[in-house]
Amino acid sequence: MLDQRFYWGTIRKAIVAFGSMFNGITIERKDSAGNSIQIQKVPLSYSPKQKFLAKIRQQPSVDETNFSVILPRMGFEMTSLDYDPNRKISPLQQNRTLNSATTSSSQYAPTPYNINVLLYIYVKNQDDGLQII
Amino acid sequence: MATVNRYFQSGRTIGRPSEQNLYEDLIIESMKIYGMEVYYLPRKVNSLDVILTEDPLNTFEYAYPIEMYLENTMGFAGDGELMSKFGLEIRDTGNFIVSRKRWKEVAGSTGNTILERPAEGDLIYFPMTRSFFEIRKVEGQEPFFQVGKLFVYKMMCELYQFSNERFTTGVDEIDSLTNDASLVIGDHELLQENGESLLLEMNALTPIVMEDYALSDDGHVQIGADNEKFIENIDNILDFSERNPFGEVYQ
Repeated sequence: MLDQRFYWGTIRKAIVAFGSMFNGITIERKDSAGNSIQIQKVPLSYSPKQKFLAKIRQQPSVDETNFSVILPRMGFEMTSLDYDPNRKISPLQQNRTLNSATTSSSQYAPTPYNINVLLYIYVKNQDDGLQII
Repeated sequence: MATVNRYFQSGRTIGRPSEQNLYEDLIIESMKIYGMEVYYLPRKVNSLDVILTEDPLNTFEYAYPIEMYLENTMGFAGDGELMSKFGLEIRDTGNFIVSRKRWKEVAGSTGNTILERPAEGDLIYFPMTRSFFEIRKVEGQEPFFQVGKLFVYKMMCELYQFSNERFTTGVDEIDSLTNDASLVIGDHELLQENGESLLLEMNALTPIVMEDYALSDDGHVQIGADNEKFIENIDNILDFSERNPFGEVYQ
């Protein structure tokens, strides 16, 4: 029993799934005549990260510093993990799947949890932010 | 009725024009000796949104080399590097001092500046650290009327928050730095000889974008974005194909 591990990376997968939902956002800037002048993709990153990795990744040279930050951009992080009793169903209920003509697998009903994630938007122009929202 | 001593003062306060001119020339000379050459970039407002009071399509079309004195002697001030929810943010500040006379000669008389003085929002490019600073406040009365005249502008600046503004100054270093940092897709498209976008054969509406645009470690490194990583990883987790529309990838 002690040798058995029960880690399936489920929450990590949920983080990737959340990130993939917001990684294709683009914003468009138009001139006063309504002509499209710029289309740009909005960078997204998972906020919690090891500081030294972020530092050496974003600023490999300490001799020069071009900008304070490049905008617009978004970041997100998981803020809480809450048990949700409203979605709970009988623990005796099973899901079954047929592997072959003679074997099958079964799984007891999972326990529902809500993963709360906060997405942050950082823009220089209000119009950029409004487009993202 | 004059109440001040006319032997020392020409009128409003102490100092005669000849003294003032001499003093101004000495300031300019000292800045040429102790200052450093920077570029002054006036901002051009192209498409002002009168409701939101902003212009996302600002451009910088001119860069004027001029000597300025950096007041901070021990490097830039400010909060320095900050690790925020958006990655690394650098909050350096610096105070630049420029001669009024020289600024008018070099930039103010060109007609390309918003005001007849350095304006808040204009940029200063500092070649030594290849940094762009945005002017946050211009102080005009410091030092206060020495020999009866104001000689310098003091500009409180912060490291620039770049948001894909267009730079076409003609100075290669400035233009290439901003082009490389740009997130505008059009800046990274492959173009034909006639300047039109080179489109994919499969989808005639999709332009071919160079790899340096990729928002990942392999492409646009400054931004520290994870967009490409999510695209790569999601294929191993979710399978929205017709065979398995809601589940995980079937191994």
